[in-house]
Amino acid sequence: MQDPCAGVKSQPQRLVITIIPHAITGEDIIAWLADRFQIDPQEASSFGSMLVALGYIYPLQDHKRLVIKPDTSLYRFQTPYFWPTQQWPVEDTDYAIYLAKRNIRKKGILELHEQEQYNHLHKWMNHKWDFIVMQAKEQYRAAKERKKPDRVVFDCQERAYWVVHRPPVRKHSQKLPLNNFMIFTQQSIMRPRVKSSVLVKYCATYSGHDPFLSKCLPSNPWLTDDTTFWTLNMPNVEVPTKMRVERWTFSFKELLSDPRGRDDFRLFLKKEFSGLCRFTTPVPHLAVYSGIPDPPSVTASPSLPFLAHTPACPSPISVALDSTSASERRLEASEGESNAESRPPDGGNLSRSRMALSLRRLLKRGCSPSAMFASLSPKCHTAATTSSRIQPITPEEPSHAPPRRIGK
Amino acid sequence: MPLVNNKVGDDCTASGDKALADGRALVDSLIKVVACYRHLASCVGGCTDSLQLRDELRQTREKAQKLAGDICHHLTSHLRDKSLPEEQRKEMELLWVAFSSCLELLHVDMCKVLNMSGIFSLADSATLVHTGQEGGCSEVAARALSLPDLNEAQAKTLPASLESQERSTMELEVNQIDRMIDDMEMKVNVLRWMVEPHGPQYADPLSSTDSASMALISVDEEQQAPRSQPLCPRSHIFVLLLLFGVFLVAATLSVCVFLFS
Repeated sequence: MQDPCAGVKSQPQRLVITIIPHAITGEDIIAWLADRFQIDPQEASSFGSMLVALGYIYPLQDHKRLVIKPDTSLYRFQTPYFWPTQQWPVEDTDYAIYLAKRNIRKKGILELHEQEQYNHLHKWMNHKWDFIVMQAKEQYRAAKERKKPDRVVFDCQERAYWVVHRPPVRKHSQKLPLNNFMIFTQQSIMRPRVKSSVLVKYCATYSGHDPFLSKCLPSNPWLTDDTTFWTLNMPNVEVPTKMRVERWTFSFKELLSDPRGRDDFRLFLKKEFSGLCRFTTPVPHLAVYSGIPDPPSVTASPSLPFLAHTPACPSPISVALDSTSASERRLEASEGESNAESRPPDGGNLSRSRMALSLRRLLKRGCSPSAMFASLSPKCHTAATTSSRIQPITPEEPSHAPPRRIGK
Repeated sequence: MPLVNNKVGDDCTASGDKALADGRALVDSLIKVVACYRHLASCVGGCTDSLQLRDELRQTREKAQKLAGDICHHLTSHLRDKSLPEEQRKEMELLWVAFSSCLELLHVDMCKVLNMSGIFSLADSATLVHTGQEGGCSEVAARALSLPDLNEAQAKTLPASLESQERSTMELEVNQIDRMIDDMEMKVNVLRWMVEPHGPQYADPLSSTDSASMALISVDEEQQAPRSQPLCPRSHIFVLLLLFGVFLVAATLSVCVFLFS
C-alpha cells in the first residue's frame, strides 16, 4: 500500500501551521483495495473498515469512529509498536499511564468514560499509583523533547491505540450493525488465549478435515478452481468419501446433520430393528423421543409417522434385543460385565441391562449416546391413531420379529 | 550514671534515611529511562527507524539494565535487613513496588523491540511503515542517558552486518531481566496490595504544559463539533473589519467635503 507508484496516494496533513506527511484519504484506500483484490467497492469498504477497527490504520478526523469513509477523510498507518499482530497483552497499567498523561495534558479535563476508567483503575491499582503518576510525567516530559509534529503524531497513535482497545461506551447507541461486528471481531481477536481441553480436543479432531488447514483431496476448489471435491461431497452422493464417513464417527450430531449420514443411519436402523421405526426427517435428532405433544397436521405426509407422548409411553422406548441373535447378546454381556459379580436377578433389572447392552452396541457402531436416543422398540405401533396402544416394554414379552444379523 | 547511647540510634536512622534517598533517586532515574525507552521503541518499524535509533535503543537499554541491577541489590539488601525500622520498611516496599512495575514495563518494551527488529530489517527500508514522523529521537535518548546531546558520529559506528549480533545480545538481555524479576519475587516477599501510596490520585499539571501540540490535536476533535452558532469568530472579525473600513472611507470623504466646501 505504501508503494510510491502503485500504492495508495499519500498527502500531507495540514494542522494550522504544522504539516504532517503520510496521510491517506478513505476513498483512495477503498479504490486501492478494490483494484488490488478485484472486489467491489462495498467489500473493499468493509475490508478497509476492518483494518481501521483492528488498528492498522487510524482516522485523523473523528477518531472515535473506527470506520473507513469513502470520501476525503484522512487516515494514517499505525506504527508497528501499536499493531495487534503480535497480540501483546493490553495492560491496564499502560492505560492508567495513558490516562494520567492525558489528564496532565488536558489539565484535568477528561472525557466522562475516561474519568470513570481513571477512578476505577485508581481504586484497584492503588498500590502502584505513585509509579503510574511518575511514569506518566516522565513520558510526558520525554515527549516534549521531540519535535512538535512528531509529538502530535505519537499522541495520535497512542490515542488511536486506546480507542481500539478501550472504546468509549456510547450512551445513545446509534451503532450500525457493522460497528457491532467490528467490535465483536476486535474483542474476539484481542481476547487472551485460554487453554481449554475441549477446544484443543476439538481442533485436534477437526484439523484434518479442514480443507484450509490440511490437505484436501483431490484439491481445494478455492485454490485450484477444480470442483471435484464438491462433486464428491454432494449431499446425496451415492458413495460417500472416506473422510466424510470418518467425520460421522466424531459425534451423533455430525452423523445426523449430514443428509447422506442420515440415510445410512436410517438404513442401519431398518436392518437392525426390522424396519419398524422411522424418523421424521425435519427433526431427526428428536424423532424417536416422544416429545411431540400434538399430532401432525393433516397436510403432513402420512408416510411420516411419529410417536406421541402419552402416559402409557412417557419415556423413550427401549431397544428390543429380540432382533439380535442370542450369541451376540451373550458376547456383549460378557464384554460389559467383566467386572460385575452377579447377573441381574430378576426382570426388574433386566430391562436396564438390556438397555445398557443395546446402547453399548450402538456406541460400538460409532453412535454417541444422546439423551434423546435411549432406545427403540419394535413393539410400538407407529401410526398416530394407535398411540394409545403403545405399551412399555416388559422383559417377559418376547419379540416376534426374526433375529437379524448385525450389518457390521 | 547510666550511659545513654543515643548516637547509635541517630546514626542508624540517618543511614536509613540516606539509603531511602539513594533508593528513591535510583528508582526515579530508572522510571525516566524506561519512559524514554518507550518513546524510542515506538519508532521501531516506522519510517524513522534507522541504525541510529537502534543504537540509541541499545544505549538506553544498557543504562536501564545497569540501574536495575543497582536498585535490585540496594533494595534487596535493605528489605532483608530485619533491623530496618517499620517506617523505612514501608517506604522501601513502596520503592520496591515502583521498581518491579518499572521493570515489567521495560521487559515488555524490550520484547516488543526484539520482535519488531526481527520483522523490520533495516536492510529493506521499503518495508518500514510511513507513520508520519520525520525527526529522530536523539533528544529523547540524550535525556535518558542524562547527556546534553548525543554525538551523531557514534551512531554510524554500528555497521549493518552486526544487526543479527545485536539481536542475539538483546535476547540475552531480555532473559536477564526476566531472571531478575523472578529472583526478586523469590528473595523478597513484599505484599504489594498492602502498600499505600503517598501521591495524589491526579497528577498535578506540570509547570509548562504543552498547550501548542494539544491545540493541534484538538483541532480535529473540534472539527466534528456541531456548528450551532450562526456566526463563528472569524466572521465576527471580518464584519468588524468591513465596518471599520466603511467608517474610514466615510470619515475620509467627510473630511474632503469639509476641506473643499
